[in-house]
Amino acid sequence: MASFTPYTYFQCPCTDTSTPTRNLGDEQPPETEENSDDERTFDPRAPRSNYSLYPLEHLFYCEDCHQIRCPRCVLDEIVTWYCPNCLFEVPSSTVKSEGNRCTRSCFQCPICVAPLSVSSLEAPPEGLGAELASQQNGPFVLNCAYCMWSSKETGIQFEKPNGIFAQLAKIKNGGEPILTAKDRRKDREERKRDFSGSSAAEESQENEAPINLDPNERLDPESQFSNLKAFYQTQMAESSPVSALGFTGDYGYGSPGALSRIMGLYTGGSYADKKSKTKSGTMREARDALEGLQIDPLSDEDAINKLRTEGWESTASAEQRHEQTTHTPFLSDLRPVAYLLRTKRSKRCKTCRHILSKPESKVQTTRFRIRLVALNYIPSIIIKPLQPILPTASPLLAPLNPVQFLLTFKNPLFDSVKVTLATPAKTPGRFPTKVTVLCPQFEVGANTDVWDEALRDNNTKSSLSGEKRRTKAEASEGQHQAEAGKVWERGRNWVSVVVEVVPPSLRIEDSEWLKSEEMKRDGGEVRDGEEVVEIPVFVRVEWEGEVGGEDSGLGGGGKDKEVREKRELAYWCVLGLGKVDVD
Amino acid sequence: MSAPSGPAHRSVANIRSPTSANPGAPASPHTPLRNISSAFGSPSSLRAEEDTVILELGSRYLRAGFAGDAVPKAIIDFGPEEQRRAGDYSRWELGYKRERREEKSWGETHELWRPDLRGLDLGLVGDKIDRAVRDAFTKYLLIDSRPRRMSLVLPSALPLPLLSAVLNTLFTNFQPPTISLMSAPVLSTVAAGLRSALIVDVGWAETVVTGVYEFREVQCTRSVRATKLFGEAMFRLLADDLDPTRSEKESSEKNVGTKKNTLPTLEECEEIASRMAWCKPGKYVETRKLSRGLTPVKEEDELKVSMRSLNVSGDPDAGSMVSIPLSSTNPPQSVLLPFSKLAEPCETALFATGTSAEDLDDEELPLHLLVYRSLLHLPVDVRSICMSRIVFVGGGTLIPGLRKRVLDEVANLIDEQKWDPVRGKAVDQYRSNPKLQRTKPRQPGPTEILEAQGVMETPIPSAALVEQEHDPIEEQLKKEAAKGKPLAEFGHLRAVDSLGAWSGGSLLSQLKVPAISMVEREQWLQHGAAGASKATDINVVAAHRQSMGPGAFKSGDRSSFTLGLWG
Repeated sequence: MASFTPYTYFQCPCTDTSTPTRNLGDEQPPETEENSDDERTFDPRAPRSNYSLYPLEHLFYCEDCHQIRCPRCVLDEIVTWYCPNCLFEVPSSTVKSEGNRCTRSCFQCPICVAPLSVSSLEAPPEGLGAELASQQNGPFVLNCAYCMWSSKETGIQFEKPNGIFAQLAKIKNGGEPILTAKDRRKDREERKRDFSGSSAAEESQENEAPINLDPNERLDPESQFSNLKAFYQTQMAESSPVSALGFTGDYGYGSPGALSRIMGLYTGGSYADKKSKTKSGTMREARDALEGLQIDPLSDEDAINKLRTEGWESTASAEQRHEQTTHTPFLSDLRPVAYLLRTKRSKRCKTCRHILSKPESKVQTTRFRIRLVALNYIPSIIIKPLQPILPTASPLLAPLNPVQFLLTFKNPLFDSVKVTLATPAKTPGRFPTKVTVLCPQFEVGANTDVWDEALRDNNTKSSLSGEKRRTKAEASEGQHQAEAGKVWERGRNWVSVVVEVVPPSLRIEDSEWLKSEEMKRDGGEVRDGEEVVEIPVFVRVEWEGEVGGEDSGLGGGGKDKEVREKRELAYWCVLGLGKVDVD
Repeated sequence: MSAPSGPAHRSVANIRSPTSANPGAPASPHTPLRNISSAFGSPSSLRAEEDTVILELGSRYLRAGFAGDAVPKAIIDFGPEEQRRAGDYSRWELGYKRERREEKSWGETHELWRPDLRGLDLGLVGDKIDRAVRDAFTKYLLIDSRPRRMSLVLPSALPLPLLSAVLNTLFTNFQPPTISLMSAPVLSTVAAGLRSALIVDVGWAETVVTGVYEFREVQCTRSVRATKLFGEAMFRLLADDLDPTRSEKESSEKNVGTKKNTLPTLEECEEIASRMAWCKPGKYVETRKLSRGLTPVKEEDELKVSMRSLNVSGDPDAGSMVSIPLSSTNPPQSVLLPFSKLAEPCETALFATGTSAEDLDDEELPLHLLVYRSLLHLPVDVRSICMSRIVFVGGGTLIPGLRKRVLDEVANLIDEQKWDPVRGKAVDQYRSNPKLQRTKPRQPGPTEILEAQGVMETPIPSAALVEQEHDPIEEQLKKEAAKGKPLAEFGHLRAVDSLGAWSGGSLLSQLKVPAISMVEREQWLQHGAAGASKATDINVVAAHRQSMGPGAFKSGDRSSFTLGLWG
């Protein structure tokens, strides 16, 4: 972790409007609250700042609001659902019924997360005519090519090589069949008919033999849930008042009680009467497993014995358990994980509802129809040290030793922009860094066509060297000094300025006069992340853009006719410069 | 969460493409765009109508899913790894190590909130919830940001500032038209198929025992002996094993900083706790009377035999050894622990063995005592119903053997102390010695008269212990009333499995049972928590009575809202 890559984060302006920070039980309100919002320095180390900072690549720019939009201030719309493994596009109507998972044969290994493949347990046919034997014969298993896990280990085998999801839903770990929800429903209906005493006995005999469900069986959560649901539905129907019709809205008609009432209206009331006779005043409780009641057997001795005999290796790790829907303490309980579907989403601005980003609906394409990313509107910032670091030197910053960094602003717009930088002289926090931006105000050239530049400079030099040409007088000198108030380097659409920082000393036991006020208040150990030098910079960008909407011209031509409009954008940035040497 | 534009799409060609992403914003794309969007948005609106999103908030996890799901689709934790900045992928880096963090208390950085609200940054709580919900929606629920109704499952004693922060976050960031508030213990009862229950929730910061009678919370007792203490105990066990002199050092001087990397992280401790920890059976297993009617005697005996043969309840030295690999320490190593030692954190943290009952504070009762006391404080009828409907929920109850241990201990306490709240040496003496009873200060009234009549030989038991008088009429009435009803289980200890509060919320929402407390977006944004009227102000008595029936729907006067339990 010795190496450090400088980074920049941008704060979305939407943060200020959301819920204000409030500490309960603070003795006195912090003094900063008296100041207006503009004067408050953004503290990148505050715990809340992690939620409002984004890399530039994550941000959008709304052309109608002229504002940065972060993932928190956009609205999503789903374009397609698809399986990341087979890239099958799932229609929206079936997504939910399939539980947001791929219902074909895409499974993830429960041990690692590699995709599983279906393979036959039989050896592939060999010898003469092996190519002709088109189909392998079962039984089939799911195999992990990475960790060599096989579903055979948990006793799961399949008859067919396709439609694994449906087959898996019918097999428990160990190979016993699971009663499907359909079977359970059928069983419930039969029981209901028995209770109501209608002459349905002949009917049920016509069907296949009814499954006798054990009233004390252990149910998995799915079937317990469905049993409970059915139980409550019947109970609610029975215990609901007769005046169910009096209700308005869909509650009245949706409830089974009202339905029975409506049915009773025209059948001479016999239906309703029969119900009302058996009706008890209140709902009762579930009585057995068929109604969703599960008596806790409290029999964990098996699990403890297994823990004792098989030890650590037999248990599933936290990550493995997290993937499973049920509680699975042991590796043998794990089941293959069906792939979660993914979505392609289009994004809209929350305030004006204009589309900010819209991908093509086809799963395979990565193209976008609309993509208003902030990268195309906001000057990007690249950080590098002014003096190149020797490979032998430590990459860490020496405490209390001034270091100069080069900030390169690159303008993506077709108009030149004026950039104003503001930094606090001392960064907030317990270990303040002193910061000086040598040139806080400058203009960055327009992002005109590279070829324009090249053609313009054609007769003098090649375009590349033209770009690299320094505008400063010191350019000719080999070793030059950064000068206050002057731009370091300038190119077609980029400008470099120098920022000088004095990293803090991280020693707690410094003499008293060196300590900051925060440090005096809180003299604890160096905490996680405090050794990183992060500088909040308030960036203001001004440019004259075209008035949006009515003109059709491109950035280059017809400038004199168009109405120009002054635009302004201001936001906080956080520059991560490096780590301070702790010792 | 992240924008779909990966670095691959950021080609120069796209920036310069004059038709689509021109900053000059030509007019042509605008009009067709809107049309297309409304067209492609339509199919998902079908989905949005039927979906109610159920969210359950606990101090460590968020559970989210749709109404009608048996188990939550997403379980998202609030650990420090989830709290990084967007685009900070350092945890996926090769060789990245979770370092042990210095924390004021165990697991503090993993909590969404803590019970002590002093100094808690409510804005941060809101941010955490916002990110977790967003994550759940995009990654697991696969829904867009269309407004949809939400049901919020909350612990029943959530402080109002927290509730307000939660509702603010949800209403401003996700635009649900309404949020229904439901209390977790009641939902756990529903998800067990019961009307009354004693919910034992071994959660993170505290264990809460809630008595629920006819879908209403009638009592709530709590103790700090929960997963947090348990995890810390596990850490101490491992740390002491790694460095036996640690505890001495720590008491003498504070040099934790230098030893930072030699100790396992919280994540690793939790993993070990969830994988290897177990709970010893109570000492009274052999002697205990078999009071649970449903387990066949034979089966239990077999279990006992098998246990004895494997020395589960035997002496600790006879246990086998277990090797546990630790990767978060520097260097990685593996510790060899006797299996019986892995049951110790459970003993010390949850059952307080080694601490005498007199030393315990009111807030740190061990689990069995907590369950016994809360049963004791319940009215007799409610107690008899609740004691045969004990429901264990919460992460702590997954420790193998824990539930049985708690029930065994409670059964033993009942055997020893009956249902008598008065305890102590003096009482024992008083009971065993009839002379003492006679010498008690004479009171004017019926006692004197009785004594005067010469009923001296037999001590008069206190009224609570007297057998109830036989009342034939009452009995007949009861018999008549119970005719149509099935026999309800009561009077003996029994544990019932519940699907958990989240599933209960999902069940109720799907059955369209309206919650007492339903907050509408407009009203909340206008008035906030101050706009809520007290539950008693609104005429929800009918709803209380019949919270399961459609009758509850009628009573709600929707012009004002209540925060119900939490208001």
